[in-house]
Amino acid sequence: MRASYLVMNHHLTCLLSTVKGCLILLASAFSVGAQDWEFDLSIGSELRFFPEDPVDNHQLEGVQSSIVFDSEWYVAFADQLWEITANPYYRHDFRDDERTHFDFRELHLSTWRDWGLFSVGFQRVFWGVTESQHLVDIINQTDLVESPDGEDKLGQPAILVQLTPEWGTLSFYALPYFREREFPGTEGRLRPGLQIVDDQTRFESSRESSHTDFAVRYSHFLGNIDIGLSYFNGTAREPILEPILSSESSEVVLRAFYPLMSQFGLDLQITAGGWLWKLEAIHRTQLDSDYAAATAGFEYTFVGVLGSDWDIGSLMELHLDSDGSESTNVFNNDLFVGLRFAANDAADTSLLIGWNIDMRNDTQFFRGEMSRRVMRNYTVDLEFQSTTNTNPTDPLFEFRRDSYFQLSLTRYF
Amino acid sequence: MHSTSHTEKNSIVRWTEALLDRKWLAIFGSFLIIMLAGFGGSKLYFQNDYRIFFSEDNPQLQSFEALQKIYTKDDSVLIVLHHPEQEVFSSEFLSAVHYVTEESWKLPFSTRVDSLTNFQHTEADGDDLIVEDLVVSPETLTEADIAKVERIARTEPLLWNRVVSDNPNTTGVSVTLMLPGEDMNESNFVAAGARELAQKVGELYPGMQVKLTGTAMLDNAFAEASMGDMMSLIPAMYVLISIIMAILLRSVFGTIASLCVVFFSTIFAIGLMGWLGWPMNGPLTAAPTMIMTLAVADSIHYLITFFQTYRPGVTKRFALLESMRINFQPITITSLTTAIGFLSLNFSDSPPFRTLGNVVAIGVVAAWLLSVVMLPAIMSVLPVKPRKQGKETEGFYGWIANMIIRRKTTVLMGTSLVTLALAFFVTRNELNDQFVNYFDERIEFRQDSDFTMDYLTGFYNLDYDLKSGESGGISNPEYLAHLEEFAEWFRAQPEVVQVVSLSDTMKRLNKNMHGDDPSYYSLPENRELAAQYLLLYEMSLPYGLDLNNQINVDKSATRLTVTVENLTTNNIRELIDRADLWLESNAPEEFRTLPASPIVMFAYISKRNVESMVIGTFFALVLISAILGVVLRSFKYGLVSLIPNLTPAVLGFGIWGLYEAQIGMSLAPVLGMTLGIVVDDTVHFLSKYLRARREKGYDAPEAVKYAFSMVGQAMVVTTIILAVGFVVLGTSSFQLNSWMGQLTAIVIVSALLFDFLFLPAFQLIIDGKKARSSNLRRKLFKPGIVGVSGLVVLGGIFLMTGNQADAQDITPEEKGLQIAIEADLRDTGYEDWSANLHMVLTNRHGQSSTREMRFLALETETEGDKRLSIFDSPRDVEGTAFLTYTYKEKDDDQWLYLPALKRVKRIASNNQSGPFVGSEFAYEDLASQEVEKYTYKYLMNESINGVDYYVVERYPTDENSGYTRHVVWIDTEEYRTHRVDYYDRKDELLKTLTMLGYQQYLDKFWRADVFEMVNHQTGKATRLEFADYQFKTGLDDKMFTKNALRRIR
Repeated sequence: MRASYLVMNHHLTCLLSTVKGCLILLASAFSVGAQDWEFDLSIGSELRFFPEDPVDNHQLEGVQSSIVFDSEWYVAFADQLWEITANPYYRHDFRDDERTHFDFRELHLSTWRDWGLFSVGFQRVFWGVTESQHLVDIINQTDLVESPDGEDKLGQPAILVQLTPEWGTLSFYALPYFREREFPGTEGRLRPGLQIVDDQTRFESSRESSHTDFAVRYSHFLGNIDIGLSYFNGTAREPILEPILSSESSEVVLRAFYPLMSQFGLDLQITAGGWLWKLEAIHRTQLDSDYAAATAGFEYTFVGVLGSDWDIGSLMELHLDSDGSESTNVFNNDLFVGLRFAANDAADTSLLIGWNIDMRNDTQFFRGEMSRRVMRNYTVDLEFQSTTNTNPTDPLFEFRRDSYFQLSLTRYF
Repeated sequence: MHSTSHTEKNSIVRWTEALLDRKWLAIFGSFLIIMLAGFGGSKLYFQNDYRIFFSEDNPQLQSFEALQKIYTKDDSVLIVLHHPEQEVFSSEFLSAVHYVTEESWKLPFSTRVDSLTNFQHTEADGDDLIVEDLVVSPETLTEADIAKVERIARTEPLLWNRVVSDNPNTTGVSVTLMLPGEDMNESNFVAAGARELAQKVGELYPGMQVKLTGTAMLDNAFAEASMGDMMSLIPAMYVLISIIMAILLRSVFGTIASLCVVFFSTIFAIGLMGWLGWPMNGPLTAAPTMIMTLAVADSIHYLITFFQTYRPGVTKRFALLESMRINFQPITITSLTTAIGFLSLNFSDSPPFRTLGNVVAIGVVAAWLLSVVMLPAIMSVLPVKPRKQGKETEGFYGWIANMIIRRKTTVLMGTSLVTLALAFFVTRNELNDQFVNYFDERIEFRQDSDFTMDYLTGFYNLDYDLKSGESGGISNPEYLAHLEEFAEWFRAQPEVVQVVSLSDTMKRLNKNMHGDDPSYYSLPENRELAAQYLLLYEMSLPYGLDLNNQINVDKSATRLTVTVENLTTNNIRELIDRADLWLESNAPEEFRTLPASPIVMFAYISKRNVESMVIGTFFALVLISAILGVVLRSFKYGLVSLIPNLTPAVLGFGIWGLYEAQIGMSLAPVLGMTLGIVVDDTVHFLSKYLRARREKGYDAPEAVKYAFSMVGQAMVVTTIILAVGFVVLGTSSFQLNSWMGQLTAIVIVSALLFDFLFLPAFQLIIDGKKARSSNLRRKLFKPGIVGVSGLVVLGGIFLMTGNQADAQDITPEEKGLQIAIEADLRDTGYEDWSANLHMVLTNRHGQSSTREMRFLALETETEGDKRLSIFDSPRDVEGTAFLTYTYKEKDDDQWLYLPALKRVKRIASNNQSGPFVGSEFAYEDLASQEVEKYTYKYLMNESINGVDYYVVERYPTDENSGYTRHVVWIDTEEYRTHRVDYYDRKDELLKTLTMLGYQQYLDKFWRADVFEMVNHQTGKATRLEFADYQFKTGLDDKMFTKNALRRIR
């Protein structure tokens, strides 16, 4: 099965080389008068294997396969003062329709000046320092169909003004349009046992997804301290899932409700030799109630373990939030311990494994990611995730049967 | 008194049960860990240089070191000779002076000796200038000769009030030293040598008294006073602790157990200090006493409750568990706040106090751990018998409670008035750091220095480096006139004892050159004349007595030394300000400068320390108040707690203002230290008060009574122990430590009184009329506590690692360093450069893979380069970028940009020895090669294929480096590096780097096209091929920032 898969992949790459050639031609046609342009493409194929039976019998069993097209297009013009960046992204999933989706991860017009940056369009912005959870990172909606780890994000339409005076970086964001979270579909795994319907979404704002959100962030570094302070006001990125009776099947289903909120965030990292000390904390006001959460921890890297070229990093992060056991957040009172391995070889072999335990209800999950380059232009990625000892009060209870292994092969052009 | 009927087992009890089941493991495990840590004690070393009190970026230290680089070093011994019956100007006394002068040349590191006998007296002999020792052979002097010597000494400004004074029986011999700074004990050698000399003088010249002072003796006194403290205070502490414990516990075994906790905490902290390489010094000698005091307070609470619970009919195990249940939280919170208080010392401007804070904080944490792990285990093993119930002694506390309830308004007003009055006295305190007074009269150095100041000259100098603004400009009559005026201005100031100025030498020379005509005792009229005099004079001076201590190399500046009376540093600052005002209005711009010297450094240290500690204390206060808010589960009481937490410091400094009224540099840290300690009283009182209100539904007066009955005794006991401990420290002969101990004891006692009087009265008044508090907030917020403590520990550790900068003395071998500096100079001024880089990695089987990247570097004025590496290939890492800020003497800052996540990550700075993207180049091999990153040793010249090379060995100064040394081949023509051999940590040849294809750019900068690195141990190789070198392309500083990484492609 694996062999045929690789053969298929080979055919695809041949086909796509041709496609790339055409696109490059197209790109150069568009960028007449441009001084600089670039085009990159990667195509990946992914196999996910779920060894356990699903909770809901609508959900798929066994192997889920998909293909990813990820390309980046960049052109600079007008003396390189202005530039356009586009990052169209497409995943085709053979088992879950919801997971088949197209997105502009980025599509923006930007200009870099002495005073800073102005940019308009779909943005991808990252804020924060910790590894196991990104509390402070709020601009982009999470693309949950990609991966349950929440690292994948949807492009966010935004107008960004970033000022860079001596005393730090000040960024202002106006976010005119809100993007709903993508959830796996009826057939998909890694979703709550109840199905999520996406046509009955509710908003607190009467303008629904057209509510304009605002955000501002100040960041700076002083010696060994990197600090960021941020404020966000607008539609919550994380929906509240409300059970309702489905109008079609009269089953209980879930619909997403997006309230308005305001959030203050702090992220802090102190770098001292091999030690990285990290802290992220937020305070959120939403539906007239206050919520606070923090992630704090450290990472220590042993360089050149036992005289080899290997680096081994150990991570520990502690999660707390003010809702305690009633929290809908996975990381409400958890301890995360991780190990990062880098072989520092020509193939850039790396491994990251993590273990998380909810200190209140003992729910645990393991997660591992391994990556290595093969030949010149391919990478192989292995990923697994498993939940154990899941307590019904924990949000992870919904994923109790969704442990998986994942193998992907990506070709870069 | 605490035992309640709670039967539910909380996690603490469960944990303690598990501990008691493994008691031997707990005992031996703790013991093993302590011993491992304690072993580090063997690595301790003593620092006794007075300069350690100043951080590297202290501006006064910097200007002092700059001054010392220009003129000679200022370490000195002043040997003062005094004979109660003989006059200085007598043949016998002068021969003693002559003997001491000759012998002083033999003192270790001695470079110059100045005395009455070898003073370079000048005289005219016709047209010739005769320069010779004032006293050549003292034995043969006639009455007339002696009278002449006395006349010269009395009129010569260089001698009067410096070497001789109004006191006819005293003179001084000044020895200048050049301490190489390689060994911690250099000044001890000097002191030993000087003492030996003093003894010999005593034998040879009966009745002659010898006093020793000077900075070398000061350093030595720091060492001796500290050692003396350790020898006397620590045993005294153990005796006192044993007595107190025996009285309070009335149990031999209890006393032994708590002594174990005390002893082991100290061993742990001091041992860890050794492992961490932190130096021992004067203030650090206070650490053991402090740790012992704080550790006793931890264990005593546990033991008191244990003995109260352990009665006939109760199992020992139950008593052990119950005591832990009751005491775990208070012990934890108080240890935490105490540790925070001590960690706030990291804000101090003086490195020794930072280390002190960290060491004591480690000790406090160790004491906490031992009290909750080892103490219960030991008590379970020791044969302790249950006791009959003793008499409750709550009468006193009940009486206080009732008194306050009856007269709450009076008590509140009374305490407020006393507080206000004392607050007023805080302003009476004056900052003063006369470092001689750091030692009390028991110390020989203090006695000798006081004697010197009384009988001979001042000990405190101000050194001015006065610039003329041009080479040779010191001969300019205008410059000399300013110098003369400035010297005369100083002489007119009442507090000035003596002024040494080149203008006096010039006047004397002018007189000599005019046949010793006194009317010519004035400055030479023209520049050439002045220059000639100076040249003539310098040529005639013997070896070791040249003018380099007064004139700089290119004769553009001179040093003016002002000796002042025994002034307070306040008065010294005032004198400096006055002098600056004079310079501003009377002298040209280039002439105006601020003085530098040890006393100038000390004159500003307290101010800097107070300023920095105010910030530190503020941080500690915020953290501690937050913790209290969480512990008391009330924002309001978090705020209320500010009053009893801050006021004791006000009371303490107020009482200090009434009693000592002087603040030295060691008192600023007391603010932060005591904050962490006094907060304990507040926690105990408020938490019990609130428990009574919330759980028992008491009204305010009942709650006050309850709080007194529950914790009154514990508070008194803790305060007594802490006060006694700090009073012991207060008896130190080292004033920095003794003041710190005394003031801390005062603050702690004030805190108890304040918490006993003001706080309950205040509670009664604010809570008196309100309805009873509900039970709603009972729900414990434990994750909050855990979270806050976690953050605090993180913060604390950060403070420790962040600030513990250890100064390392570099001893570069001249030539190697010169070559490195020359090579660096030749590659300075490129502003920026960039190149494309093709990297070929080859493994031992000859298989290769490649990487492409772009490399950009920006030169900075003061530090190393800013560098940016951007990957173009392999494609999967395309757009990944490294941004590095190179520093000369600290770890580089490094950021990694991950384009897929749009994430900029600050990465650890200890990876220098790690391979760069899988190549044979380590990060450190590719970093900008700053001169300061190595020490050097020139090996030889070598000629290969007609090219001459310097072969230089260099040793990385960074402890994270993967190498012991490099051997570098640098061509003698252009100072380009052609080959580097790298030796690994086992000193075996690891790699060889060869650089080929050098080309010159912009007629200055040489760059190699190819760098080839071969790893001899693995057979792997990496070849870097550079192309498109570009220089001075106007790269913008903004490109080399975290933000700009997002733009990279």
